[in-house]
Order: sequence, then structure tokens, then C-alpha cells
Amino acid sequence: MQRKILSSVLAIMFCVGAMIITLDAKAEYPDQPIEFVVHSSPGGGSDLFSRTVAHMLETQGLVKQKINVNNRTGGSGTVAMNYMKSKAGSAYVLMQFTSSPLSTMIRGTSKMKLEEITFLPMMTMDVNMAWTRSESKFNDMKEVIAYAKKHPNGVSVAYGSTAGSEHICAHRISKAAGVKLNMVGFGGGGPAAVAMLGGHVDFSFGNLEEQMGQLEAGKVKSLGTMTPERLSQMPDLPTMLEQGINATFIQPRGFWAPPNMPDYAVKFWEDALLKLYKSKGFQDFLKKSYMEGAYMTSADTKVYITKFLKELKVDVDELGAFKKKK
Amino acid sequence: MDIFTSLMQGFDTVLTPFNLWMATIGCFFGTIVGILPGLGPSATIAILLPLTFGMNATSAMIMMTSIYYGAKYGGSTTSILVNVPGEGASVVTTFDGYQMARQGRGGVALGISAIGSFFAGIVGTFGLIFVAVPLAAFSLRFGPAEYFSLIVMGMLTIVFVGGKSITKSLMSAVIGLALGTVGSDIVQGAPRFVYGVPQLTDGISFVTVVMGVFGIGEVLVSAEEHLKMKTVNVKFKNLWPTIKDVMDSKWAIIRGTVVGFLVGALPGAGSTIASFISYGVEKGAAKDPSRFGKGAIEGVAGPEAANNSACSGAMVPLLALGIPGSGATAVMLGALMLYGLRPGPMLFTTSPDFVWALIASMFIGNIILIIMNLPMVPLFALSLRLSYSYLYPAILLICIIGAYSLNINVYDVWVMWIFGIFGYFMKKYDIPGGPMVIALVLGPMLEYSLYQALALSLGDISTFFTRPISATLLAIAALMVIGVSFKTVRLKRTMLEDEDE
Repeated sequence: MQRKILSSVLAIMFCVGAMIITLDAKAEYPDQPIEFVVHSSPGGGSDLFSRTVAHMLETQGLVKQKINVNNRTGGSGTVAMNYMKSKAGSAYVLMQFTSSPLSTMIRGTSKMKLEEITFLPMMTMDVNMAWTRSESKFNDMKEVIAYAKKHPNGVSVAYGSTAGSEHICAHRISKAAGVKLNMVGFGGGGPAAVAMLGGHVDFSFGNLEEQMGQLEAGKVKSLGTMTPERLSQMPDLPTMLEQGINATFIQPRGFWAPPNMPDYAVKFWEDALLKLYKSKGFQDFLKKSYMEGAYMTSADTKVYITKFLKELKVDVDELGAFKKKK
Repeated sequence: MDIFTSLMQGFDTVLTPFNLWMATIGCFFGTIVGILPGLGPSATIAILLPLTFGMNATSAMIMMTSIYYGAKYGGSTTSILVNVPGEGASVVTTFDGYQMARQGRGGVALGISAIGSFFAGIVGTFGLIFVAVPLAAFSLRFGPAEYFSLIVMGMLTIVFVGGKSITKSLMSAVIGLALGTVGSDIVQGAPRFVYGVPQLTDGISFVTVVMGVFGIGEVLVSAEEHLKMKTVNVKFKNLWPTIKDVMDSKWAIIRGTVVGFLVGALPGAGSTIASFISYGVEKGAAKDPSRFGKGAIEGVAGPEAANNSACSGAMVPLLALGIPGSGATAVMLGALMLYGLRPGPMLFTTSPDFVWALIASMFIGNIILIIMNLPMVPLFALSLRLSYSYLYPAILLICIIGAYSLNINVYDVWVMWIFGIFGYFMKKYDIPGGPMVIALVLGPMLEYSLYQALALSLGDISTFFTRPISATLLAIAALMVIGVSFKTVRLKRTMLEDEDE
């Protein structure tokens, strides 16, 4: 009898224990490895950003699971976004958004719609600016515009990919100032910078960090930044707005998730990314890579990106129209 | 500034157990990545990057450059043994390297490629010390027009001095150019020949085509011949290059080193172009060019030296200008930024300790690599004694894993199979695969530079002939074509005369 009681007590204890353990597991999101999807190939700015964030989340103990960074490249973000669409409802897949997959989405090449996406916080802004060789006759964008007014197509500007950030910048400048610039595509920020440094084009656009070394060495001068306000890290560089050219462009960078990500997961990531954003390690990383920090909650991000895309669509359409006329 | 003292200080920094360990790990991973087709050095560096976050910049960079160099050492292995290039820069090595392996001289080819790589790595590093800054300034003078002419010259080199039949080489190159037009075009971003397949908007990946045409194609042809190909009888005396082999290829190695370093220093040209320009140079310099494609040792030594010194060359724009000239150096640039270093003209003055340590680590890396690779040569060479029923499934497996690992996607495996079948027919009709894959790499670059040059000159075509560098390159190309044409005409004549008699 006693043995029976003992064994039933033990059995009950075992069951309760097992229940507690399972309850624990239920409560504890995430309980399996996370996937970070990157739309570009290893080594680019987006890839480095994702890998750095993943590494910091792990080492700072904000995410207790392994984060695998997978490059799902193809069709400037199309493949990655179709993958995200196929993962609808999943709480274990995140993707970084930058202007490249965003502008791909506007063109409607992927199955993903803006309305379906679960937005997570925005983290940073990439700063774009115009620059030229120190030997150049131009010292700021005003002079470029004045010259271009007299010589249509007489000023050449290098951009990276079609409808990419540099192309949009060049287009916005030419539209705002009402001048015709000779825009030449170079397939990437690197080659575009080479063309500018070699004096093969008059100026080019790019992210701030790409030219820091040259700027400090005095080999390159800035013609102005595309930000609404002066940069916190380089306050002596004037913006385009200050030079009387009504053109701004900043590239938002943050995370989004597949359609219908469960609310508890969204909450978890909002929390984790905010903690990460405030950490010293991440702030140092921003300083080193010359990005401007710009944390926004998921809801704010959604509003911001929707507006951003509306403006971007105008440019992309115009660039298409502009080319057909050629 | 005393270079020698600085370099010694650099060695002082590098020669810590931890840094040597980093270099060894880097060399090991690099060699493995080089041997396996598909996963390139840039992807490897990016994936291993988080491992280096806790280290100082010097240790991290030592590991990354070791991976980069290691990949070039390893790249030739599968090219020579089984005709599957591990990466773009090793395509040219298949032309003669694989033939040497078929003749039982695989060990010699592997050994020479390791020795050539070592020499080029060391000399290229010296080059980096002495001419980095002026060379970087010169390389900037290459604008779109110059690149266009350089590529035209390179393509013609391959076609006209490439194979047995100029017609078939041309055909192959044109197919490659056509494949190169698939994807979004640079001018409008308009999709071309995409047929609604999203992956095709990025174009056809060069690596999958190479693995298909060279690897799968080879296996299919042999399978049809009922595996009648005898296993290669590897004699023990052919496991290592002899003194005579080294003497035969010494000029090729020296020429390849110089060509590679100069081409590598051009941002965007890279080791692939360097390797086949070197092949063209070797063929042009040879007393008897007909030996090429049949196992000429210079055809392995030159390009292998070139693709290694091109790596040192690619460090020139990276360190002196902060411009990445290749995928792998682009990743390094990103990493350097993370460490708060700013590559650019000031790097040599602001962080001299780092630069000299890096240069010292290149010497060390090359020494580690030669120690690592040479003992493996006989082992790899003996692997050819395996019967084909074992070897071919292994090749298929390597190719499938390689294609899948590109983007973790089965799509690339399918593309590879399609090109495998394509390669099979090319082999049947004796159309060389080399010009095709090289045209596939260079075609888009050719098209971009043509468009850029014409956009900058506002449509004036004379820009190619009025710019001195561009005009010189085009003149060389023209002379080559004329020379080869005369030769073929003369040959035809003598053949006709012989028939008349």
C-alpha cells in the first residue's frame, strides 16, 4: 500500500514537473534557431549589417538561440521576399530591409505586398552624399548646378545600380534644380567611386563610409549631403537644402518579418532590438560605419516606410519614363 | 622612412603564437574553399567575419588575407586533377593542367602551380611595399574606355591564341557573350531573356556554368565511352616537379607574376582576367605555341603565378585608395571599417603598424601555404590512380555541393545540369569551353564599359582611339589578329602547295 502511495506521489510529481518544464518552454520564445534572410551576397553592406546584428544579439544574450544568416540572393531582393512570403505566420524568420528590396517591391516583381509585411523596428539610416575629386573645378553642388544650367548634359555623374540609391539622389538633384545631368551607371558603388576618383566623371554619390579615407586625406571633397539636417558625425558638411536645392534622400535600414508574425514574437523583437540599439557595442558600430542611428517602433516604421515608398515610386517611375524618351 | 625597419617591426607584430594560429586557420580554410568549387573566398571571409569580432584588427586581417591567398592556392587542385575549376581564376589552368594530369604529370602540374603561386605571392608582396601608391594613382587612369579596350584585347587573346580551331573558339566565345547578356541590363535595369524566372534577372552565374560545362560535361562524355578511359598511370617519379620542370617554367612564372600584379591593381579587373592574359602572353612567347592545350607546363605556371600576384595587386587599390578591386577585398574593406580603420591614402601614415603587420603576414601566409600544400601534392596526384567508377561520382558530388552552396538553392544545381548537357555536346563537337566561360565573365563588363564610355563621350566613338592607353591596347589587339591571320593564311597556302605537288 505504502509503496503504491509512494509511487503515485512520485508519478504525480513527475507529471507536474514535466508540465512545469513544458509550460516553461511554451513561455520561452524563441525555442528554435532564428533565420536572418539577407537579399544580397556575402560581404556587402547589408550582409555585414545583418551578421553584426546577429552576432551582437547572441553575444549580448538578448537572443538565447543561434541566429543563422542566410543569403537568399536573386532579382535584387525578389527571391528573398518570395521566400518571406512562403514563410507567412512564422515567428522564426526575419529579413533586413534596405532601399534595394524596397524599390524592388514597388516594381512589383515579387509576390510580397507592402500591406502584408509585418514590420519590426527601423534601426539606422544610411547617409548619402555627393563628392568629387579635390582637383575638380566644382566646390559645392551650387556650382555644379550653375555649370549644368549653361551646359545641359555637360556634367557627368556616376551612379551604381539603376534606380538604386545613388541614381535616385542624382535624379532628385536634377529634378529639384531643373538641370539635365549626364547620369552614367557603373553597376555598383565601388566602380562609381573609382570613376569619380579617376576623374572619368565629374562627381558621384555614395554612402559616407565609402569615402571617409579619401575625405580625410583631402583627395575628395564633399559637394553636400542628402540628409535633411547636417550629420552628427561631420557637422561641417552642408546639406543640399542649405545650398538651395530641394532634394533629400536617406536610406532606411531595419528589420521586417513574414506576413502574420505572431504578436508575442513581434513584441520580443521590438524589445530585443531596442536593447541592442541602446547598447554601447551597437552605437560604436554605427560610429565606425558612419550610419545615423534612427530607432523607430514597429508601428512608426510602417508609417514611415509607406510614405518613403510613395515618394520613391514617383522617382522610379520618372526614371523609367526619362529613359524611354532617350 | 626605412622600409626594412618597418617591415621587421611588422614581423615582430605578426610573430605571436595567436597570429600564427590565425594565419594557419585562414590558410587551411582558404585552401579547402579553393578546392571546392562554388563557395568563393569572399563568401568564406564574410561568413567567418563574426569570429574575428573579438580580435584586434591585425589578427582579423591576417586571417582574412590568409583565406584569400589560400583560395588561390587551392583553386588549381580540382582544375588540374578533374578539369573542374574551383574558381574563375583557375579556368585557364584546366587548359593545360588537366592535359598534364591525363599524361600522368598531375603531380608536376600541382607542384609547379604551388611553386609559381609561392613565388608570385612573395614578389607581389614586395611589389605592394614599393609601388603601391604610384601604381594606385596610375590604375585610376583606367576609365571605361580603357577597360573596354583591355577586355577586347583579352578576349581576342583567348580566341586567337586559344585553341586548335579559331572558328570554334570564336563560336564558343560568341555563345558566352550571348549568355552574358541574360539578366538586368545596366542602362535601364530592364530584364533581358529572363522569361519570368526571378533568379535569371541576376544573370547566369559563372561558377555554375563552369562546373556544368567542365565537370558534369566531362563525366557525361566519359560515361558514354563506357568508362573506357584508362586510369592514369601515375609514376612515382612524376609526383614532384623536377629541377628541369622548374627551369622550364621559370620565365613563365616571372612573366605571370608581373602581368598578374599589374592587372590585379586595376580595380575590377581581378585575378580571372590576370590569369588568362598571362596565358595569352605565355602562348605568344612560346617557341612552339602548338604545345599549348596539350599539356604545356608554362600554360599552368604562368596563369597560376598571375592569379596569386593579382591578389597582392588587388590589395594596392584597397590599401592605397580604399577601393575594393574584387569581391574578397570588398569584404575586407567592410571589415576594416568595423575595426575603425579607414583604408585610403592616409592609412600608411595613420596606421603604419597595421599596414606593415599586414604586409609581413602576407609573407608568412605564403610560407605557411607552401608548407601546407607541397606535401599534399603527391597525395592528390596519386588520387588519380583511383578507378573512374569511384572518381566520377566524387566529381558529381563535389559539383552538386558546390552549386548548392552558392546560394543555398537547388536552382543553381539545375542550371549546372543544363550546362552539363550543353558541355557534353560541346565536347562531342570539339568546341572548346574556355572561351565561352571567359566571355561569360567578361561580356557584361565589356558591355558596361562600352555603354559608359559612349555615355561619357556623349556618343562619340572616337573616344577609344584618342585616349592613349585605350588606343595602345587596341593596337596590340589589332596586331595580334593580323599576325595570327597571316600565319593561318600561310599555313593554308603551304598545305595547298603540298597538295599541288
